Amino acid sequence: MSVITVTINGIEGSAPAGATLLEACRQNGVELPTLCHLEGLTPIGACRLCLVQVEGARRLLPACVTEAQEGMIIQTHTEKLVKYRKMTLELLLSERNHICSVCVANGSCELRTLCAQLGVDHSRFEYRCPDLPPIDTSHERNGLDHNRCISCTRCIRACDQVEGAHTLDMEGRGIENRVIIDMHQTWGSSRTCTKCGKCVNVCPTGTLFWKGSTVAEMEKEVGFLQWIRGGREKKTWSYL
Amino acid sequence: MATMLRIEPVTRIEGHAKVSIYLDDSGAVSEARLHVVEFRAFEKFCVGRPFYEMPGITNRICGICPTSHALASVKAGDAIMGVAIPPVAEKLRRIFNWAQYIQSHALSFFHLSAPDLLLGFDHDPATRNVMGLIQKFPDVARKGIRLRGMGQEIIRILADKSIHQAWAVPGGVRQPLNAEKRAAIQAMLPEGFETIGLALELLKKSFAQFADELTTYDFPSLFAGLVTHEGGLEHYDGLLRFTGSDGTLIEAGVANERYRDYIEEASEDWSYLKFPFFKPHGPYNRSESAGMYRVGPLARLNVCDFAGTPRADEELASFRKLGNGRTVTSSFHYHYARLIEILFALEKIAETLDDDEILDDWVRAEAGVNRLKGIGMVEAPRGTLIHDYSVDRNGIITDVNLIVSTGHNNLAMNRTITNIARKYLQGDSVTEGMLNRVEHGIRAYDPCLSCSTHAVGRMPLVIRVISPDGSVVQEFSRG
Amino acid sequence: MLLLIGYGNPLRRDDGSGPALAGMLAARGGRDDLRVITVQQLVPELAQDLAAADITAVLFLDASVSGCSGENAVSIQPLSGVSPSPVLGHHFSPAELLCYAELLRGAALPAWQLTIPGIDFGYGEGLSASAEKNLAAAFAKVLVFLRKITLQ
Repeated sequence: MSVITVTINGIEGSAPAGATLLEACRQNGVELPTLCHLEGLTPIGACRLCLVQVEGARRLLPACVTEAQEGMIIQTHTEKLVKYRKMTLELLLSERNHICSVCVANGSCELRTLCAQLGVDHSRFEYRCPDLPPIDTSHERNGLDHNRCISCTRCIRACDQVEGAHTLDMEGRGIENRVIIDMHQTWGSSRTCTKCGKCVNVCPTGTLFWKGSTVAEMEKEVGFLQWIRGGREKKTWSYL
Repeated sequence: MATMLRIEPVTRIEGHAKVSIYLDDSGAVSEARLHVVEFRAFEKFCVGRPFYEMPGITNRICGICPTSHALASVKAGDAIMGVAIPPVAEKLRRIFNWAQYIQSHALSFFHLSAPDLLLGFDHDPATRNVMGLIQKFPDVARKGIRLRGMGQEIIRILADKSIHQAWAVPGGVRQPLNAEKRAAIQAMLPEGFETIGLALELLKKSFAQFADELTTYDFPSLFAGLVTHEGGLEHYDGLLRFTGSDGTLIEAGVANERYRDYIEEASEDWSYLKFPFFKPHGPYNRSESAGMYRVGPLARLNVCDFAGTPRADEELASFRKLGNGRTVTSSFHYHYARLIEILFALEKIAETLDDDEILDDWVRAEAGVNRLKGIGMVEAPRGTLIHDYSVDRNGIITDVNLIVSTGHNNLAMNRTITNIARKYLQGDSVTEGMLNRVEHGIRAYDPCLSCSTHAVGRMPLVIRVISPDGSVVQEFSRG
Repeated sequence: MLLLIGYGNPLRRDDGSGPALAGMLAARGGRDDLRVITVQQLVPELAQDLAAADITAVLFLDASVSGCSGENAVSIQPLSGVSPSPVLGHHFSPAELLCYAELLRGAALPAWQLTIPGIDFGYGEGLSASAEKNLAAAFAKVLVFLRKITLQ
């Protein structure tokens, strides 16, 4: 495997050829915040939290979908980037109706954890308070609450790429997008859903939850992606 | 044109509540009103949420009695699931509730009412406060703090948090008790018994100086509260009983889900707090107090046949001697009833913890939606609390009706302050003693109006005497 | 050790300036002789925190309804006097709490109160422009106060 050299925040490091900037950063001990990215699912560069500055590039680049090149000089935590990341989180908070105090994912929510890490304690943007489709608890086990969705599509990718069912999808564009089930029907009436629960486990917020969960009770487990992928790609089935 | 005297206490946010005293043309008091001007819309924004999220949402109605709202809510949830929860879960919920009684009643008695009760209404206002209390009764003050803290601590031990916990859930509770936690609770109880003994002794000695108040606060009304199936004192479950002023049984035991046949809510345009009344004695008529009933500590001791623990039963017997042998009709004795309930709570916690079964770890039943309606009724420290939910087949809330404890007492509180104003207001002049008594008349019910801001500059108590042409001829201010 | 208690309701706009100031002071750090507590309202059991063995003084941080702004709007006053218990609320005043604390520790506890005037106490997060300004002034004032108090 060939290795390339990159400079991250003024420090030289190396990464395997073909690695993304995100992988290069993490392998060199530089942590970048992510929400839509999840090891084991195709990266899509949707949440914009992993934006970095690359010398010579005219715009900021999402690290999760940009391939690291030999000799790249990368800045990950400039004042501008930190400001943008905070702003991105504030926009996410203002977009739907996030009420942490009574949320099932309180304590395990990735959005909230990132906000705490980046010092976002309120949004400077006007809350949009949108009217959203009703909560769907028609499914035998899972519930869907659009109020808490950040459109990261992790559920959709897990359903399609790992389970292979493609029950979940997205309708609408931009701020109007919504997660839908099959041909826009209730979850309980879906014939494609295998009830595997992968979507619930990969959801970073309280959008998807086990029915019956009460405040701060959801705990999500994403480790299964690693061993499923390991088994499929390397044929080594290990739960460890 | 009638004259109005207005007392505006409480907070700076336009006041969450204020008192107006209306005079007729002859200068006599025609009526007094307690206005509650805070509107919170919980019944609206809960619609559309899954029922199992409701305990987490509704316990935020209040920082003083979140435990009661949580319990009423999980019981409504149990009813929607149609389950009988594991017996140990029920016992743990009961301990949770009794601990809430200890902290809430201790706050009401030791910290809010004790200066009035132990120092007297006509005590120098400069020291008729905690400072005066501490000077005269340092031991009571010190123990009062620790008793309230103990109630909070038991709740924290059970639920990991003393307010806004998410421990009680539809179907049971989340975590069981363990031996270590049980021992921690048991170790606190002896001091609690000692404190409550002292408080009872002091309170009973004070009655002699309150002969006037005892009669002013005395009026006939119905009483309502939960009782066990055997007719005993009950705080968590059971049947809703209504009795008359003389102790007659009006309704011996109404099943929770039939409460609407007996309780109806009226509204007045001058208060956001609704006016529930006993429907069979309706129609609603405030000036005649039609259907007026009282809830809370006094009512619970009046409706039950017995308490069910040795020391509380002994106290109950002497309590009843203050009335006709069965029923005590003076609202002044809410305080005494509160102390008896703390004693009862301590005895019940001790008794329940004594059985090793309490350490069992099967504490949660699982079920989906099996009923489209769920009614959860508990006795909160201030009285009967009702959470009434309707859901669709997927468990999504379609309708919520909450009847809060303070609401049931609304008619009675208005009646009490009217009585006090009539007795103590002479002409247009407001005296310190009259003000104290109006305040105390409200405080006797320990109403919870969910105040939510606390900046310095609590509005002074203002009383305005307004002439028929609307101009202020006299204004009193203090505090 | 100086105990700083910031109290108020951050969901009622300017009422949250006490907790906001407490947060700023806690974030500033750098001193091991400060303990910061943030609460929505003052409840009796806080007396036990005030009476902790290592606490030698207390400063309450609160909003006020005076509505003033400018240089001298923010003041730090020694605490004195006690008002009657609240009629309909279930919270305490700093002076009442102090009384209980002094009872528990059996000695006087030097105490001050800093008030930050506000104008908007409606529902919602975030402070009014006027309270923001007063908050900044309050922060500066506390820093001066802290320097002084260590000299004593």
